[in-house]
Amino acid sequence: MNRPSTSIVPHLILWGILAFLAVFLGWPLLHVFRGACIDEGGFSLTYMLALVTDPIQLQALGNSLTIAVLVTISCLLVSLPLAWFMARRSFPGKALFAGLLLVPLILPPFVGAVGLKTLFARAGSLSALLIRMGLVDGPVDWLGRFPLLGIVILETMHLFPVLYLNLVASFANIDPSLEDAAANLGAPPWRTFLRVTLPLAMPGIFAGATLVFIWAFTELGTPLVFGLRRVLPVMIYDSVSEVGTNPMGYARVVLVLLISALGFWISKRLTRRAQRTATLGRLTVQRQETALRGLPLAGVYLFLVAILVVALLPHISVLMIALSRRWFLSVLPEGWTLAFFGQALGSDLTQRAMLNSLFLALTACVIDVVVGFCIAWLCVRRKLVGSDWLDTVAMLPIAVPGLVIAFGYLGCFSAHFPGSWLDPRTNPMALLAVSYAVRRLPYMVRAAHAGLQQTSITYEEAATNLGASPLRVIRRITLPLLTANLLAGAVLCFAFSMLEVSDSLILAQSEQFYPITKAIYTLMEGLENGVNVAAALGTWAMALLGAGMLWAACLLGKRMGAMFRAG
Amino acid sequence: MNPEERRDMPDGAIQVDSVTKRFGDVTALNEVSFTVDPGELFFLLGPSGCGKTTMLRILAGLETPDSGTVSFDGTDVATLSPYQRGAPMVFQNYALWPHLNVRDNIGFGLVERRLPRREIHARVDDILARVGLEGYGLRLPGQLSGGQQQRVVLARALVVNPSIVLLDEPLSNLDAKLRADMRAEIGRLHRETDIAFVYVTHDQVESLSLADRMAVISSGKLVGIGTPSELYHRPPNRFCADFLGRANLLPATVNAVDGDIIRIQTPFGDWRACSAPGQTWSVGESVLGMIRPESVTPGAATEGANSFSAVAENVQLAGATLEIELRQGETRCHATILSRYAPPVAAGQSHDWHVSADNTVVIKESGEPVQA
Repeated sequence: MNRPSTSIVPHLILWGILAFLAVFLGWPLLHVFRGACIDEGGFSLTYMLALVTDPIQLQALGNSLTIAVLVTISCLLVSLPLAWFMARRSFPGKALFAGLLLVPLILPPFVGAVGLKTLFARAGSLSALLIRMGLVDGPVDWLGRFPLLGIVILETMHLFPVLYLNLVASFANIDPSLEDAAANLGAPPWRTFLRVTLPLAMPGIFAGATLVFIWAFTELGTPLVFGLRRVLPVMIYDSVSEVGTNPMGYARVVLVLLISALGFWISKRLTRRAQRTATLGRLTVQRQETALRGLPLAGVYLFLVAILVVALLPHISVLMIALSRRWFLSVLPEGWTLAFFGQALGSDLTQRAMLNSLFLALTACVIDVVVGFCIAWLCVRRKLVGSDWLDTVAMLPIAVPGLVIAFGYLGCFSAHFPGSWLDPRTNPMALLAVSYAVRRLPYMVRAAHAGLQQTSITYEEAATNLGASPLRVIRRITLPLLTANLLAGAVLCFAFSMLEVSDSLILAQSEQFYPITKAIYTLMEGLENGVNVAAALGTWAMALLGAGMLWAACLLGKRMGAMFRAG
Repeated sequence: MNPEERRDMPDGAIQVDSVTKRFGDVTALNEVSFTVDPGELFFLLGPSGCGKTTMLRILAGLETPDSGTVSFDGTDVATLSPYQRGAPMVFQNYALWPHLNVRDNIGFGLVERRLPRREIHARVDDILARVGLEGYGLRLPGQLSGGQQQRVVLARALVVNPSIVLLDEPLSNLDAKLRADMRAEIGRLHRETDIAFVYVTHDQVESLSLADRMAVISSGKLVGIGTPSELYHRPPNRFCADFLGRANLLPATVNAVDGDIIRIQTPFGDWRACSAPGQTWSVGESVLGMIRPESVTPGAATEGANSFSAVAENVQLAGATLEIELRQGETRCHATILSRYAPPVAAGQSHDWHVSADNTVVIKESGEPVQA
């Protein structure tokens, strides 16, 4: 008996998506590798070797790794206690704090860097305060003295929510009876945490830490604003202008890619081993959250408020810059104005940037919803030959930094389609949209994947059984049931596309195509009041993204954490 | 199937012909064949994991057999996608769409059949009344009790006027009291229509009490088919004997075959017995003599019955019945008799017992392994 006229359509979709990813993910990566390793004389590792032998290059690599490692460690230090309290203890105002902890995500760290600069630079608030108190004689450039420290703090404050979300989910997924058993056998709470809880949460810890590591390792905007030029991302950015002529740019990109992939691979390996043990227990007992009282409660509040104050310092300072008429060597601005908010919406550059970003983010969002749903549907509902591949390939962008993709696009498409709509030097809009989409595709796939797995297939079988064709089943049953997941995924894709820094800085090279982030960056370096207008524009973007995240969080509820999980 | 046969096939019948289905190394169904007559309430009965649900899903087109054919109404349905089969199914976990209210859930199949809005409305109203859910149309599935959800699922299947309805353990999620009510309800709904029901269950009480005919499946094989009475009183093999109720299985040898009557040598003596149709017996063959506990009757033999005497080792009152454990030498046997005040059987004493030849069934010693 033959299979009942299995349609060819799923296969077409499968291979169509694979082709799309091959062109916009595989090919640019291949191009980058070729650029780095193929010389006129054939295969050569000269450039790669130069990166790890030349002292200047080594210093850049060292700086980048230092930043990434320090950021990862400090994110862990902040998130571990935070996640544990949020997962295991109940206290008044917990929901509010849970929401506030996501706020740091809504501001690209380089915009926050502008704010921090105002507070800590030579003419900043801290210097003014210290002078007034008579502790120092003249202004001190705190950031100039410790640029690495500033970058690490800023990126930690931006990225810890990613790790925190992973950890909360991991802690919440541990069967309470496993911990009860440890207590029952005589382990005091802290021993239980060390010997049972922590090992079981390892997959989540590794997954989140990897994301943070890669994110920090490839962060371009923050070191750029702090003027630290000797880090890999900035050096890659500086080699954009000579992309066709100097293979060193390619070599750097390949190095970044290799290190990111290595980090991802190690975490996957370690996670897989841990997961085998973590899935032994199934959730059988409902967890009781212990209510906090008295001194511990005060301690938790203090900890939370301290973290939030530090984490929101960049946001607050950006807002203050946007509102300030003059802020130079004084603790607080000398005079307030709303004018810059108007200017941020009024100028030619910003208006076009807003429209560009909206258009790009919406396009990327639509691509992601369609492609992401198709991938998840093919993988979960139709287990076709090749759908495992598709799942793996679609998750790749998590391990591939935006910097790498953007550089690959620039090299690959300007070399092969010079002057056409695919040449980023002529018109980067198409590639910007695609790069935004490819970068955020994993989040969308994950959202749709989770939705499909939580939705019993019998709902669809019942519809089929009552006479609905495959397309009608998707329209009448699958999509309505997945609305919350798809919408949340879409909102996040949109929000992060609006925020995208490295792709935008590298790909958008002429003013008429600038997205918001590049416009902010350009404004900052510009006129007298450029910083204020940039901050005002940043505030507008923050408000937009904040609303978006809030909406997504409402739709997803506790599943929010799943969006940021690697592997 | 040749054209003549096809012409004889009445409307609405299901013909399953040597269907085999494997999942990896596991053979879920092995050369299963049966026919369901139009309007029949047909049961697929077997322990969990025996392949009965797989069979139902193959009928619905949700699984594809590795070999064999399925025909509805004389037409091979192999090329029909699940949505073209027109055999609505009542899913074990109901599968009521949580985003649609009761009316929209029930009307789903009618919308797919592109019926005019008015007619859909009228038919949904009609079926809501028939399953006793008037006034619940605008509720969401989550706002209904288990029994009400079950009625909605039934309504959703029946409203499209199918000639076949498939039911997958429809009562397994209900508590005991509700299960009895719904069982009666399903029987009523079936009698009111001329729809063939194919009903999958592991509960022999459900199938014995409701079925017109039933098929017993064990480890992917069809091991018995017939009316409940045929299968219960004349089980064709050891599996059916055990799975459909309690059975005493006495080791025996065939002494003589005399038409329908088979004489067997049991530890209790030379007995007259019968067997399920279509089986052949040879003298000297080792067999089993099966008697149901309730056909063991106290008192000396009447005309033509098999008699023996045995000690009542253990007598337990189970309310309506007495459960008695009998022993004669090394041979043990259970008897179930109606309980009365001052029981005729006292524990520890020897009594006379008899079983009619009609209720003594010869079955093959080897055969399907007992899994229940």
